[in-house]
Amino acid sequence: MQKSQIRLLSELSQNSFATIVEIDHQPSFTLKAAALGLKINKTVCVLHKSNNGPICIKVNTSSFMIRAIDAAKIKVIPQ
Amino acid sequence: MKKIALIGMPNSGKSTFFNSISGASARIANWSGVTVDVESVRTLIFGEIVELIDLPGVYSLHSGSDDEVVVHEFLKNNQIDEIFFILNSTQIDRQIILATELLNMGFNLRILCNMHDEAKKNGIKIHFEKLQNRLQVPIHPISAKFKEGYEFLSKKQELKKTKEKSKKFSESEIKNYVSFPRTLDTSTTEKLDKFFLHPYLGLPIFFITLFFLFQIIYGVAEPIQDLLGGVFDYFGGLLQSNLNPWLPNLLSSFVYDGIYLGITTVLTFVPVIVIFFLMMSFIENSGYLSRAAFVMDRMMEKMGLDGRSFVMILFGFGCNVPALMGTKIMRSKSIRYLSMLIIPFSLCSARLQVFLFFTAIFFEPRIGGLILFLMYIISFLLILFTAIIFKKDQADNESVLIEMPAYQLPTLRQNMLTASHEVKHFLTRASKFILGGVIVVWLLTNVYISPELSVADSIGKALNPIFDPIGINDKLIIALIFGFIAKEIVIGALAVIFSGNDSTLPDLLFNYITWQQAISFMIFTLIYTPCLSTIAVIKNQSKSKKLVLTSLIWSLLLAWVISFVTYQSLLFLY
Ligand SMILES: Nc1nc2c(ncn2[C@@H]2O[C@H](COP(=O)(O)OP(=O)(O)OP(=O)(O)O)[C@@H](O)[C@H]2O)c(=O)[nH]1
Ligand SMILES: [Mg+2]
Repeated sequence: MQKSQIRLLSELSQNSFATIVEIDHQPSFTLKAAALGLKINKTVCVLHKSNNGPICIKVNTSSFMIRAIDAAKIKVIPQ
Repeated sequence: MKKIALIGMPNSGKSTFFNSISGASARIANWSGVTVDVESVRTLIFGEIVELIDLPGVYSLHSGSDDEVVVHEFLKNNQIDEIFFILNSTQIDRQIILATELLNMGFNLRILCNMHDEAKKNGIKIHFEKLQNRLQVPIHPISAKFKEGYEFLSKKQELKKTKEKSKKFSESEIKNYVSFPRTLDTSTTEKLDKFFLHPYLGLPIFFITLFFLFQIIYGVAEPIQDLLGGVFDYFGGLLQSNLNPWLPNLLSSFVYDGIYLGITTVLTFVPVIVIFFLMMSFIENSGYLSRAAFVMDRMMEKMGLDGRSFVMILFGFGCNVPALMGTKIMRSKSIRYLSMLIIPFSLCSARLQVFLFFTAIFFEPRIGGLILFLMYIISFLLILFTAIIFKKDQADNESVLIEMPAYQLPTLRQNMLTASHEVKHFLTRASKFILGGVIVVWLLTNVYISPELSVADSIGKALNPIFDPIGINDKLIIALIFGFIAKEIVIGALAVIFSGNDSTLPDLLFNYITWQQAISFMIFTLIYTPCLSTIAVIKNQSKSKKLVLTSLIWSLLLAWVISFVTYQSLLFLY
């Protein structure tokens, strides 16, 4: 895995896929995210982006919205 | 009695299952976090009467928001004979982990793979037998929405104790038991989302849809209500002419002017309630709510709130009480308190009744529909304004993760069920508040302090200095005082207050006040405290007297000021 490939989830563009490599957030977030399937090594797809607003993402079978500020705490490697 | 608890992740269909086997009327919506408290019912399962308990959904068994803590506490403090673990089959990969955690904690479990209809539609194949053998617990595919797969409930069933090794189940194992199609067929949801989540069009679409929905309510419900009013008038006339020869004047007035008029006037709203909740149930079960949260989140964030508060405002369209309770899903105290301050401004169905009644009297249908929509806009603006005023600068921010479930076509049966629950709820409230209310109003208007002055008149006179500047005169003041208890009483109270004439209430009102006064009355009704129950819930949920007082005083103040400005401007302009 090359360091240079690492991006933030918030930077991905619509319809792109990436693998999650790190989630650097409060435990309450990480726990709920994990329950929703958002964990390290999972593939995430960006379904929708809004203007400065939240992002709609999909992991496995579940879609959910996440704020850009929280997405910026998730490191991914684009596929 | 055997206790069976329903546990599962949010939005997996626990309450749908609960309602469908017990005839209970728990709230259901395609939104995570609808149930926020324990609800139990007695019902027949496995050939015996058991206590079935519906609980909030949980993501984890260790930490969470207040509604999740309800479940943790419940599991800790209650002896439960069996858990029905309800999961959404289309998300079995992540939801089953919670089931294995419960198994590890030693609970007797039975797994109900709900929404099996959806799983089949999406080409997801679960190998039940294999999975059952692996976990050593009974697993049943069901569809709570369609009441399918319930056969196991009628047979007596014994649960085997689970062997230790079967419990250690890791997520990566799931692929041995479930085959997912290479790509999920979610095209409908994705197509709809292109539209509803559009960066520019998302918001306008929301408001335009809202506009048309309320035009429909106005256009359909109003004539039916009119018709029903006519029918009640006809029978009222019969009743009156039959009572008069028999009963002394005062008693016949009590029966007709008080009870009959008060109650039938309120009953004319039943069709409105039915139509309104048919639409609400459709929207709530369609999956649109979380999309509304998505498009509004940015705007709400600026006001110290988030998309979830907006969904609570939409819930509030039906009734503010469950909307206020729904704030339990918020962990951040500042977001929760602020949400509790704004939700009471959400125009609930009880206030809708008052507005429908008034607009029909004072405005022609075309304008009436617009005025009604305007009331919703005012309600939104007040919400924004209140949030801005009370927003804390150093709010404790909460990260927001909101599930966006696939869109669903709500079934007619489901919608009818919700509507019938709501009518029942309306009638319960009616019998609780309205009967008592109209009797008291009748007493107030018929007990005289002096030959010319009834108790109601004297209250009206005393409060006149406050209400005169906003164009609300004594008879309407009494109605507003009762509206404090519940808005459903307002029209019933007016019917009683204006009784004793040959004319109908709409005619009397039309001659008694001007349209400017009517608007002022409507605005005041929109803004001041919705009902006693909302106050009780705010107190209960927040445990903060300060918040209750703030809510009370702020809404009364705002109601007066805005009615004043509107009324005086209208007088000036027209
Ligand atoms: N297609 C399908 N939809 C279902 C089924 N069961 C429930 N639903 C829908 O799923 C949504 C959620 O149902 P609820 O019963 O409110 O879910 P819950 O588990 O009680 O949710 P919370 O109270 O939020 O934890 C509703 O829109 C239901 O109509 C099912 O068997 N099939
Ligand atoms: Mg529920």
